[in-house]
Amino acid sequence: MRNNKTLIIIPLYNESKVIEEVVNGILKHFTNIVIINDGSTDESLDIISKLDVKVINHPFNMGQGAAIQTGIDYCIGKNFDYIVTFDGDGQHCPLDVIEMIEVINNKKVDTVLGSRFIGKTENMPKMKYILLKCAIIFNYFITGMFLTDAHNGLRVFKMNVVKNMRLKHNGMAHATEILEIISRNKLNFIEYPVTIKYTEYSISKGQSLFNSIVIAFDIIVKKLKL
Amino acid sequence: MIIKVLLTLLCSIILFYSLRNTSKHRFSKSVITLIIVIGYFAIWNPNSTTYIANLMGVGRGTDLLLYILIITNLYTLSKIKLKFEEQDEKLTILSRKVAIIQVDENKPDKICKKNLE
Repeated sequence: MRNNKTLIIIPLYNESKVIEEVVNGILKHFTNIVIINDGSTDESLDIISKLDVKVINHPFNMGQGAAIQTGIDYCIGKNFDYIVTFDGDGQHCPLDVIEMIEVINNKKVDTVLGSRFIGKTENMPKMKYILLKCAIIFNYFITGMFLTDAHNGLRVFKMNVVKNMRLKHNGMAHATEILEIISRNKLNFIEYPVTIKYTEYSISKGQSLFNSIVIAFDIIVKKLKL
Repeated sequence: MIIKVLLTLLCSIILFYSLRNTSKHRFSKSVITLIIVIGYFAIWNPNSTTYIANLMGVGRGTDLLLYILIITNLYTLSKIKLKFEEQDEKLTILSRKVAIIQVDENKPDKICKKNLE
């Protein structure tokens, strides 16, 4: 039986090559998917329009953080138990979500965060490894939380936690912002091992070293203003 | 001499337009007037700026004006940046609302139906 009490939020920006496969993979286990098309300029929109998913269309590209917040705004007032954020580039595994939901149920926590470092990673580039380890330390200084993987797009939240979530960072800095919210509101969380598949495609779509520095700078600037 | 006349004219135009602008607050109008009056003074008595500069430990009046210019420029830039960010945030909220409304109007709500089943 497919899970119909969970909403999967997929932010989408130019993933026409893989999005159909990703969605079909999830649809085997879950009925409710909302895809936020964040101003894609390729055929992504045409492809997802044919699929059995809800599509929200941003009028222009606003960033992954903005897209996730749109998904959150959309789910408010609807009858779901869990909200999942799932990347559109095919690096996550739908089976992990099922296990994470079991964990959130059994352990009575507010949120489960995926971690590739206690889980498996396939073909992770060395540069990526170093970058992510640096991100972990950076996040510790910003949020006071020491996680094994600070920038994993796979997260499961309880509905009541998501209701009060307001992401201000439109870009990639939302990953740190989510952790900040978790730490500020003293939410119970647990890290769960997940598999990240590094394909040539997902690597090419990933963040470069330069981008990561820009993101870190952005976080620091906003942090100082607060 | 020509430059003095030109600068005076320019200052007068700025003063005229800022006083005519009804949307501006009275306080900001008086500040602008004050600055322009100081400007007139500095244009016709260039040595006065040097006098003030010397009082503050700066060699030339031009240098003092340059420092003031840099500071006000930085201030204005940061103000504009903040304004931009504010606009950006509003635009995001607006576009998000529009995007979500469009979904609910154009397609029958598949998700909600499935939830009821």
